[in-house]
Amino acid sequence: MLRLAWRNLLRTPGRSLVTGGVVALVVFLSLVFLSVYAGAFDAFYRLLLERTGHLVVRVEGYKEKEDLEGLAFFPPELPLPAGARVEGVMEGGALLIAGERSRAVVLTGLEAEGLARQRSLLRSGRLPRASGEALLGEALARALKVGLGDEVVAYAPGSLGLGAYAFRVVGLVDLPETHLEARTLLVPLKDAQALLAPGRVTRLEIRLSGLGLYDLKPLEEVKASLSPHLEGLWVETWLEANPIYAALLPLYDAIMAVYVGIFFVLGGLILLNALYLSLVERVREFGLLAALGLAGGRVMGLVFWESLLLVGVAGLVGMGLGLLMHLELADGFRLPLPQWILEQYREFGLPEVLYGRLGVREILLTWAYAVGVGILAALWPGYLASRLEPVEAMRYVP
Amino acid sequence: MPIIEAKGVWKVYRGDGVETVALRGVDLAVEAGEFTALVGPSGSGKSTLLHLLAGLDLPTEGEVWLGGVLLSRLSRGKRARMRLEKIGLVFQAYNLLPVLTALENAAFVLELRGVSRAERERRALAALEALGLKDKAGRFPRQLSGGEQQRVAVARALAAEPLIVLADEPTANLDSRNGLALIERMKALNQDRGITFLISTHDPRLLEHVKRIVHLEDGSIIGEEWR
Repeated sequence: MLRLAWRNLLRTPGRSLVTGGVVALVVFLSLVFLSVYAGAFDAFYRLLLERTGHLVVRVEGYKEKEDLEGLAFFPPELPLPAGARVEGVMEGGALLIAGERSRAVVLTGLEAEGLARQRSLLRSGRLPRASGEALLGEALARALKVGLGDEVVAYAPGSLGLGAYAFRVVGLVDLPETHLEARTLLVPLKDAQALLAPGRVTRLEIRLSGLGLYDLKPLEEVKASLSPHLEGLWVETWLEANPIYAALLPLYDAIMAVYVGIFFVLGGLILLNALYLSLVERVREFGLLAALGLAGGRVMGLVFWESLLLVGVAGLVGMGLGLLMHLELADGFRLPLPQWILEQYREFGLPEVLYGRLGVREILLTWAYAVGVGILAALWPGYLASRLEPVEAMRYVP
Repeated sequence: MPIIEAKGVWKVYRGDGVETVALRGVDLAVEAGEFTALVGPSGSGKSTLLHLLAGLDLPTEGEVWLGGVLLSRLSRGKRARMRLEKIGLVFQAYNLLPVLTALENAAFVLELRGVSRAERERRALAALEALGLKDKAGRFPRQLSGGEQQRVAVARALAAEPLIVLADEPTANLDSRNGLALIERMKALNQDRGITFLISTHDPRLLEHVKRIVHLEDGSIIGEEWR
């Protein structure tokens, strides 16, 4: 039967080539899409992870607390695995004054590593290198009418620290949202602590080494091991700390399946058309097969074999080409988007070069779609062929 | 006991409000080793009777027995299995699968039965040799003449060693030389190997070679002669 199915495909080489070509193209495009999609998805979540840290420690019930006294804490000693890095962050409200102008700001004190991560947002100037240097949001600088080298004073009355601190503007940052940009003041952690709460932080960011982006189980284990050492404090994973983005993660599979499904529905319709045409052209032949004693199920099986052989061979070709293309994408690629979209993309801090990713799951999904479409497309023509009455079919005039 | 038997068989086709009676209470029994011809003008019901005897269709009334089994009691699938196991079929035209060689066509029924490749090729080659086609075993139907194609169809029927070969006007599309050659081959197979043939025809050349002639007209058997 396999031989018969194969030769039936070869008897109309043009049609088989076109249909197979469409199937191969669909498989190829699916793999390329999945590679790019996973690459973009990874870039976004990697950025989120970089900004948040694998684990974040804050005071218990921090979401309900507003005053600095309730939010700031002294960093405890933590039993962390080898290679883990802890960065303190101090965040609090202040009034930023420049001459006669002033604006309410969110002052964020970062350690050197934290400041270094702001490099991609830097629009002009440089990162703070010493105490008393600050980064301002571009919109904030415009509102205060200050520029690089100008002096500003942060005023935080009622805080646990000095209450006022002078900074020199050494850099301006560009943030995707203007309202955030108009309230952003980034300074060295020591300066923020001196101003707001000496020795304290409002959060600790823990970055672990050797963990993949989606290695959530080992992350949960580290989190569980820290909890007993955090009296009055909470530890959250990076996804728990970003609940909106975490909610998007389960959608990854659904979006992937829907997009690839659309490709395959189109390919499947072409396959169905080819199989149906082949059936109409061979009605007498199917009649002969039934007359010789081929039962309906086996007639249907022949149509299925023809479909699966076509999909199998074309799918392998498409998969080979798709994997070759993926190897190129895995080496890094730039999104082929208009400049104005890329501009916004950069403002989010997302990298311009993405790296394609294809897992066994994505390859299996594509293959499962191909086989599924092969079976579904053969269902109707196969059923029709199996129900043909031998006598009538053999008299059929195409 | 007859190999194949029709008892009071009626076949009525209904469509578009028109009723056409193709067979009217036909009784026919064929014993092992017979070489029988069904004769009659076009529209007399020859092909219909052969189709009913082969289980390709069911009678409107009456019974068809094949090898002691009542065909109308069988499902569509079981009737197909019955044809595969017990009947060799040769049609007037469009007998072969165009994508298979003569050898593969001759072995096709055996392949469907699940016979091993070596065994089915041995039997198909022997059948092709008996019909003078051994040297053309590797050719595709398009590379064979009409007569050769019909002989491959007979070889396919014979290779399967059926209870009976039912042939529907096998010489109708052949020229006189090829038609005669086919008739002589079938007669030789009947005489030498005792294979049972029931052939519908209105070819007078064929009638000279058969042992029994059944005359059919307007769906009824009107006479019969033995030679």
